[in-house]
Amino acid sequence: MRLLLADDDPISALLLRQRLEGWEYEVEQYDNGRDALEALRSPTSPRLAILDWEMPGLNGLDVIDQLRQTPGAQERYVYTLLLTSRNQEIDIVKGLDAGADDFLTKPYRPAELQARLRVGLRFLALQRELLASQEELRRQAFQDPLTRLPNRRTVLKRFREDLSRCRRDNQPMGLLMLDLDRFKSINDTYGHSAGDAVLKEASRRMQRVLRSYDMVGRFGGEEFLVVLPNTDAEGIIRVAERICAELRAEPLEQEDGPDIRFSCSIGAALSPPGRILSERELINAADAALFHSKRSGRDQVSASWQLAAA
Amino acid sequence: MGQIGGDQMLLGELTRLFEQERQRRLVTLREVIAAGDAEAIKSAAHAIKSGLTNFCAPDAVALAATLEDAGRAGMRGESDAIQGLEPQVDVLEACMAEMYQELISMGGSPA
Repeated sequence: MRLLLADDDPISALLLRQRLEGWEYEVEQYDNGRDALEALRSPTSPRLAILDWEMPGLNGLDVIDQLRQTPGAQERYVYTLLLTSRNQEIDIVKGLDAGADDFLTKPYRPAELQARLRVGLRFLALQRELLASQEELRRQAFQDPLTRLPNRRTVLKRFREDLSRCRRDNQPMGLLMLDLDRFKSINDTYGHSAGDAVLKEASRRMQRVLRSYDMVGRFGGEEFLVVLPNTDAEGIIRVAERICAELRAEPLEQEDGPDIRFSCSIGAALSPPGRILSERELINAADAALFHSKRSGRDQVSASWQLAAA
Repeated sequence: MGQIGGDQMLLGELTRLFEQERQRRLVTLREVIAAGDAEAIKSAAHAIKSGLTNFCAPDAVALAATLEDAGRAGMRGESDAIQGLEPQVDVLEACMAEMYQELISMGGSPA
């Protein structure tokens, strides 16, 4: 475990460092508060710090105070132990109130210091777990847990943002609504876990085809929405055809079952530059085109602007 | 000092640092006493006390603490508190000289 030690007294620092290294801490040492603060603000700094209270320039209290006010300090928390020969109650209260996590007076008892550092390590481990849980919750709020694609809410939000930007920049924008063909039959024939595997594989293949600034999200069940910003009619059809081809190209190989062939039907809609289509109009247009693909035999692309012209 | 064990290299380094710090910090302490700077007296005495807490030297620590308290009292406006401190610094210096000799007798090299 890495540990930052800041103490301007070379004797105290030498002896403490010797002891800490004996406990297998990897010690990063500073003899003043300013350098210690700069190091602690770095994203790669140790997360555990022992700071002497009295130091020239910036004392231990100032270091902690300024560290706690640094943006991102809560997410990248540094556990600080203030070590000092001040031992009056008022000093202890002042130190802890300034944001120190622990306080130890010199001369310290080695076993006590070691135990307090273990408390710090436990605290940091708990904080890591908490942040990981928060990240997981955040991910779950935006991501479909099965396919790991953006969920309905996320893809619709992105659709609205891109549509608004394309309108502002007078750029075309495409929207694909995609439905896996005969998915119910896949579930009924091979079981739901095979159906899940098809959904995951289809998602993976769609992502492979798309450009970095496109987005595909799971719209619900076996339906997906693909947002294609800055894309004209020709580009939309090209992407849609590639998705169709990619999904039908190879069957899904199962370890403990037969290979599963699958395909999709796609409805494409276009918001051309100069014409204002609402979100609802675009989605309805893509949906109607998808319905046309299904009725026309599936595994194909229909474009709403072509249907309207026919 | 128990943590040194038989580590002669550490003892040598500690002896060297002790001597270096002893001279530097005592010079500073005498200067700030002569200047009558209460806050600087408190800081200089505190720094000496802080270094001494690493050694089994309760008398020297107590002396440094007394000087620190005097500085603190001077900061509160008790100007008498920082008068006539030189004899106490002399005693502290003697204490630290003894500690230095003890370190050498334990095997530490003279600085």
